[in-house]
Amino acid sequence: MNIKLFDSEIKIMNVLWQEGDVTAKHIAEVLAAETGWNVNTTYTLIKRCIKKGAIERTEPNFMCHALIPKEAVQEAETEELINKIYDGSADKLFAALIGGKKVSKDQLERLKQLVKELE
Amino acid sequence: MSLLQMSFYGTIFILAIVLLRAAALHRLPKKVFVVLWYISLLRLLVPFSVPSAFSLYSVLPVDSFLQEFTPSDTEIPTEHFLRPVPSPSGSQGIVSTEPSSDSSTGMPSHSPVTAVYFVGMLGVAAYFIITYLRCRREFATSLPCESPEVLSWQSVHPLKWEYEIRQSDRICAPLTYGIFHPVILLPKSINNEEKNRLHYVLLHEYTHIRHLDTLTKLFIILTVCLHWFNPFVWVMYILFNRDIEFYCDACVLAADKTDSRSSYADTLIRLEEHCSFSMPLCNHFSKTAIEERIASIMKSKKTTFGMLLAGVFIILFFSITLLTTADTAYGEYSRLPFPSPTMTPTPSPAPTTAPPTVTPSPGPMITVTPEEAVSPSVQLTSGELYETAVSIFEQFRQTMNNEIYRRDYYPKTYSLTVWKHREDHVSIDYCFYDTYDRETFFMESGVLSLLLKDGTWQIVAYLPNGNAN
Repeated sequence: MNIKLFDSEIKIMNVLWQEGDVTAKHIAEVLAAETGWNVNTTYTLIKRCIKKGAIERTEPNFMCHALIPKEAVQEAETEELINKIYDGSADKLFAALIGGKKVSKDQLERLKQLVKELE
Repeated sequence: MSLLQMSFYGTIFILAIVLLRAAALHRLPKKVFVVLWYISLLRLLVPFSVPSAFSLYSVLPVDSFLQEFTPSDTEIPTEHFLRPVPSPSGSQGIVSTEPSSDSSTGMPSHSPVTAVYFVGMLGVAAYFIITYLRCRREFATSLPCESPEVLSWQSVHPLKWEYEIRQSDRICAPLTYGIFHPVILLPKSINNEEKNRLHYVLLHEYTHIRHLDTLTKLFIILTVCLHWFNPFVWVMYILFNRDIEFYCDACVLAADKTDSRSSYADTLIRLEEHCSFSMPLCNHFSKTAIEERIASIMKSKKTTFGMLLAGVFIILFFSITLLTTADTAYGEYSRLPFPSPTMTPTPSPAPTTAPPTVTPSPGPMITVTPEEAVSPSVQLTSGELYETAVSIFEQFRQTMNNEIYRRDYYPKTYSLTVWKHREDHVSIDYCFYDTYDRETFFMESGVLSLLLKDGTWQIVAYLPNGNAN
């Protein structure tokens, strides 16, 4: 994914990922409660996302449609994290996660399943 | 006081602070410098004039220098300024001249200079406004801070007015903005910081809000817009902002019980490693002055009573010598409360003879009806008319200083009696004295006649009584 999204834009995408296609007005209402943004700010950010190619606008009613799936952004962010902090090696991140006891027993089970499926 | 005069006096004040800073920046409490800068803002923004014998300008011959920039006296109430011109025959004639300049700002009006000034001022203002609006638009997309440590910190540090702490991934260093709804904006990376460092950063920004530094910066920028042509005002802009940061640092260190100077300095260095860009109206860790800040923190000592005392003394000294103006025209000249012994308080000759003309020189004929000739003139000792007459007399005496007498020999002391003969005719019996070697000498006495023409009082006659003895 070539598009770099800032935190504020990811917040907008989150609304679309969670609720599907909604009007810009609805996004503004949701985010006003969550972040305290006024309507103008939200609309400006939506327009920025459209410019970056992350959102598609359809009339009537300024309907917004997410062009990038959430997984793509997650992947990109993880990639960046690995490159920046874990010297480009994914298993170091893996080791950190497990070693830092951030993974519960159930999660560990599911991980083992995943590894098995990949083999 | 004109803008140029304010700029000039302000420049001297700024230079004094710069010198003091060079000599004793780390030896005086930082608050002293901030207070001095505030006073310089006052001097640059408010047109006041307090004559004092202790003023530096009583000693320096500034007035002649300033005269070039203020072509007409700014306190003339009349539009037509009449100046006595000594005529060859020895008798006094009156000449009326119209000032060609706008007296309120001390600058020639409708000239290219004024146009350049306004263009420059608007340009500077536009730069600040545009930069500020762009920053605010960017800050609007910030998110509420999620870190629990920050939230718990905020609950422990309340303020009289509501303030928010938000975070943004668009900035690299913490900053504060907003006057009525202050916001501390933290970079996203702050979440990775240790609790101690976070505490310092937050305390620093919190102190900025408490001191209303954003409001101060607004006034600084206003001053820079008004005095954009003065390079020393730009110097003030840079140094004032720097000293605000120093003072904030000092407050943070003072609030912290442990001696944590090196730890605080370390925090600053780490933050400075990130980028920072110019935002004139926001308080932020300044990249360019970082060495001065580290030095200031490491060199800071506990404020002793001696330092406080020295600071207060310096502030008073600067204010008294540099905020006041030269003690010339109206200050030192004393007015004797009684009429002079050689002048009996008789009405001016005009109305008692008929038909009278008040002035021997070309001027309006004042005709007095027999009824008016009979009604007595009234001596004024107070009231609006009296004050007007006295102020005209004082301007007149000022011109006498410049035009008739030699500079070093002019009447400093006078007594006067104001007579109202008619609603539009007032005369002043005056007596000039000079003091030399603690003795008072009589110099001149006479009558100054004033007439109300077209709504303004004008001198129509100056009648000295023969030669001074």
